[in-house]
Amino acid sequence: MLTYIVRRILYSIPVLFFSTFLSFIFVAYAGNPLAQLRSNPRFSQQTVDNMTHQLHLDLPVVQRYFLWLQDVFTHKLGNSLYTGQALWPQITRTMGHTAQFIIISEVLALILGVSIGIYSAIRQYSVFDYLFTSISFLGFAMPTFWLALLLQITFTDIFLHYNVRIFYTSGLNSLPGGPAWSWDRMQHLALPIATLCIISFALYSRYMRASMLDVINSDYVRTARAKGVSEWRVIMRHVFRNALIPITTVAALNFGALLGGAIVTETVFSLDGIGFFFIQSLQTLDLYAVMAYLLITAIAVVVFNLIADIAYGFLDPRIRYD
Amino acid sequence: MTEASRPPQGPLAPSDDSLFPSAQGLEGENIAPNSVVGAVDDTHAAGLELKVRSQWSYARMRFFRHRLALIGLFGLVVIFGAGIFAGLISPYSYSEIDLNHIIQGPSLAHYFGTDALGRDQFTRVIWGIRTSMEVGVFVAVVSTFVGLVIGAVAGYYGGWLDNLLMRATDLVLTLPLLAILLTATALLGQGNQWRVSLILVFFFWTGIARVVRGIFLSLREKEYVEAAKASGAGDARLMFRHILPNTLGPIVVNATLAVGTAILVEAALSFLNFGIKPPTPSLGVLVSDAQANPNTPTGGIAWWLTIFPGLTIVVIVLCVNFVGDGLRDALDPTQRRMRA
Amino acid sequence: MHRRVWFLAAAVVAVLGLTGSAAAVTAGKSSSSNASSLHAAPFAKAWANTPRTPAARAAKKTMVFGLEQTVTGFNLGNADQNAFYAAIVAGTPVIRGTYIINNKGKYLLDMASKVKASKKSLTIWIKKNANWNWLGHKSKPVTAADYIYTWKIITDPTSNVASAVGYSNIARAKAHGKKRVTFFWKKGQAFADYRDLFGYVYPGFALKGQKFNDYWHNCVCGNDGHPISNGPFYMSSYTQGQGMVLKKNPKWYGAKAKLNSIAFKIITDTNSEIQAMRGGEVDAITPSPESALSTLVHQKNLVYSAVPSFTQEHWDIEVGPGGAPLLKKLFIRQAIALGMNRPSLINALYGGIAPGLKPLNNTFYEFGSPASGKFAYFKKYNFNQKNAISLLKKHGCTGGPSSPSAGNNNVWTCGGQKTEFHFDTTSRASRVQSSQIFKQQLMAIGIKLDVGIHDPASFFGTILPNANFDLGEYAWIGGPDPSGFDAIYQCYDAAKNLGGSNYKRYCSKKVDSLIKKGEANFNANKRTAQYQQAAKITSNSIAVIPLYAPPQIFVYKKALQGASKSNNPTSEGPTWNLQSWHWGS
Repeated sequence: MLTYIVRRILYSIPVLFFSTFLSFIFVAYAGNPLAQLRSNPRFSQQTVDNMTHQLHLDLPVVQRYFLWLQDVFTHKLGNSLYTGQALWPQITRTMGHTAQFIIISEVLALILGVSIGIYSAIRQYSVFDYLFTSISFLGFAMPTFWLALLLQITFTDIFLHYNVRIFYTSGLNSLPGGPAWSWDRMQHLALPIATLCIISFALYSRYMRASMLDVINSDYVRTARAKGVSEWRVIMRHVFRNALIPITTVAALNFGALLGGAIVTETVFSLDGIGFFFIQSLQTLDLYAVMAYLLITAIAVVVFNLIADIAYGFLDPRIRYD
Repeated sequence: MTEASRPPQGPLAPSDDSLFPSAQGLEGENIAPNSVVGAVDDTHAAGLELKVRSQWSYARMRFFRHRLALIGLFGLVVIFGAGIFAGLISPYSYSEIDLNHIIQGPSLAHYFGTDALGRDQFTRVIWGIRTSMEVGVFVAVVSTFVGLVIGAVAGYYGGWLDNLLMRATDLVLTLPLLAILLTATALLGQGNQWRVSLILVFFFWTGIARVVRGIFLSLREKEYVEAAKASGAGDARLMFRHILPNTLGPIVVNATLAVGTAILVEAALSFLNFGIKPPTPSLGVLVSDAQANPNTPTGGIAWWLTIFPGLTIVVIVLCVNFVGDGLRDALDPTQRRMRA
Repeated sequence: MHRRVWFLAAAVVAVLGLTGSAAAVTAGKSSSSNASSLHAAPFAKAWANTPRTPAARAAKKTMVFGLEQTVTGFNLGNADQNAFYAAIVAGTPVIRGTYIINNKGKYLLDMASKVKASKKSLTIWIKKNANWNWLGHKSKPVTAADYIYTWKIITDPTSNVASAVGYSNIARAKAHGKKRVTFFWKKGQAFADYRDLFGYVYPGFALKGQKFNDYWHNCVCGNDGHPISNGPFYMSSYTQGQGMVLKKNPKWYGAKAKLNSIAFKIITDTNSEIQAMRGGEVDAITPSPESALSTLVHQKNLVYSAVPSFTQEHWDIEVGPGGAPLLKKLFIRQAIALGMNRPSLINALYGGIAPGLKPLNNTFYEFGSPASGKFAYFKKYNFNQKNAISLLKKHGCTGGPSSPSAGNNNVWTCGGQKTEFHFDTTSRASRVQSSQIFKQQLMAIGIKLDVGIHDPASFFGTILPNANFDLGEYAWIGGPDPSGFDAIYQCYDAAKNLGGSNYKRYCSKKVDSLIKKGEANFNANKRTAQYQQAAKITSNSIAVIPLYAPPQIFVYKKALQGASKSNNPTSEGPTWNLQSWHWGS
């Protein structure tokens, strides 16, 4: 197992290298971030030249990539090209916010999804099952941005018409930088969490249900029933635990992907998360900020893919890695 | 990727009326014995004549017994028909501006209301359906083809080639869809649906590739393949004649579901103003416009601008998923129970 | 088997819990400081002490202003930080200059008691009581040395200034005592737009040891981190992304501020801003124009003000080699202008949030040059599609519609070429909309537009500078003193660095000489007259099609007094008379 992990990590390094290299080239060619300075008819060419030199925009792309790589290790991801401020504190701050609301929504979605999946499997083809199957279908078909917008519009309308604030429809706190664990923060995060939760819940409940059904129909469960084990013990002892295995992998993969920032949700609700940070950096063509984001999320994806595979191997003794 | 994309990768998706993309193993292990060759026995009541049916007619029978799939199919026919004949059935031109009727609610003249420039929403939604359809089908078909080729080669030959291709898959997974899209549209000109589709294909082939690879990996050791090899069949013949037919089931299901996923991803990208740019119509752009102009001139909320495009997306993807589900039931040979 | 599951589940929960709490803890902290830059006190503490109810705010003489964008710094000369929202916070209320521009565009002497300008020199008499209040230090007067420091630092080649125009025309400086300074122009380079110089004066003595590109990222302070100001307020706290607090400066030379402090809270999205205004959480906002603001227009407890800003939204028509050959013909340009219904466009884009906004009718956009009046030279090209068609017919074009019709598909052919042009603009929502509207309007008279939407980087970086377009829509940011037109209209000469912003490659010797004369004319009225002669010529040659000036919006609670004249469309912003705001009954 250990050699497997080490081998996977070693393989990941060239993948990360190529991935960041390709991304760097793409964003560098997307355009010149200094172009906007020209909207002042009396812009100073001297300044444009100064800044071109300071930001290394006059060097060939490959060289700029290696300069960036150097900055990653020596200057903790370097400084933003747009604001000149250090990037690492921004990344940790925004990552913290994203992690907070993603963790809450994933945990909620898992708890709900697993329980409903189990019950749907046990009572297959019942009204309950059909109801939640329909909800899951809807959840799969629902675009995240639309759901977020609907929630936002509804609660904005309620506030403007009835002057009653149920949930906040944008931002993280009433004052940016406010406490992370406070009633105010929860009121702000309620809608984004609801959005993500609904979408993820559909995924988890269907997976759980199908996984349960698969196990329920297997031979060893039939044997247990034949032996006279009570239905409850059959479900809890044999079916549930084995059915849980694929979910861990799905959850890990999903979480890894979401750590890239629930970009659409954060944009609609203007949350100061890493996805929103990424969109803003892209719009201003802030190369270093974009690369910082990409590096962090690429690492997150790789790590969680690895976790998913390891968890699967760990839990399912039929799987052997060599 | 945005969280709107649920790329079809993941562990075993157990069979039996499951909704999601098909089974694939992680890193090479054979999890799902996903192969059954030959016809599934039909159990007829004794005394009736045993009709010999092909595998496909069994599949067809199973599909048509799936009520939701039929509803989905009907829905798709209607919606995609509307898209194909957009020019004929839309009452106005989609860029026809009427500055005297800005942001008006649904009425007999404008079924879905008008937007900030007085354009008819119904027309724009229909043309948006057409664009979504083009994107969805293109991405699904081309990415399936690409993924099939790559997965087959990786699974069949194994070894370093397999390793290389799987690392390429990982690479694609870590690349940022948004950044690439932004640059591509900056370099190649404004984003129309074909450019966006091409870039989406680049990100979508990995799902199918893994599935196909898993199947090829598990099947190439099978006895009948060895027998064929012993009797002198070349690589290509083995791949196409013997192994490939077993992948068709999961491929068709995966491709169908990919249509839905592609439409969702494209809508999210257009919403963020990174994908299809105006004036090409797109349902995502319509929702984005709605967000920019949420109020009527008198201060009320123009709900029709947000609801109708979004609802359309939901209905399309729902129908696609129903059909995909039905196809999975029909084509997945590991299904042990027939639906009552 | 089950033990493994529980073990794994526990491990996962532990990891998640650790990540979550670590994330939450770091999320609560403010971003760490850069060792080289100084910081003002953190905003959160000051915000916690800001009262939430109107009555409490009135009692404490404080208010809350909603700021729509995070600022990157307060050094307004720096190209990186030259942002409107930085200016309205740190420019006018904190750091003053020679003049201040009121809401009618009039230059009023502020820190100077007298200014004399000639072709040889510029002399400034600084007010006797103008002083720097540097907290923790004895107050020092504003002296000639500060002015000289400002000039030197802006013309320093290593400083990343937004524009050194004007300052680089100065050859040398002489201080006459502490309160008088004379700048001598370089030979032949007297700068007539002198009133725009030294609108922002740096306290050189307090910034010793600091580099221009580094200072005032996180404060407006001296080199020990304590706030400094020569205006009615000083910046007592600031945290990037959150907000800042301005406190009354008791040592200011003008009428003392009526409020004790003002908190500026950063609310970046319009949705929140509107709700905050409606809910009473903030007392004033100056949002960028978005149609969602229409809900604020008719609220009983709010005052809503929209005035045309100093941004000139216009079309450039490429008459150089990079554009379509037909565009070189005057009648084609006239037909295009006659085919456009600008009032209808403005109504569609801004009708809900700036009712009554009129189109611009002057290619040189001066202050107060409205749709009508003697400088409205472009008025003769107002919307008249019939004339456009007859004009085209008169010049021998064929194949187009005989009268303007909405569903027309026929395109004119003139001298063998079709009237089909590329139209490029950026992806801003208002421009995308206007491109659609104009496309339809011009198609009705047989002129076809192929619309290209680009992101700002490629539009401003490649398309415009390479003069590689037919028609382009974008905006110039101007100021009330007529200037900057040299770069826009002078015949383009790359070697001599002339006409650097003349992307349309328009060239007229007469206009060149008029602009040159105007640039050198120190008499503001005469300069205006010369510029307007040039404006007449450029209007008639339709070098540019002026569209509109986007509205500058200022919304505040009715109970806030002294703000009725505050909506200032220049870069001073609505805080130009911040010291006169107070709570009334």
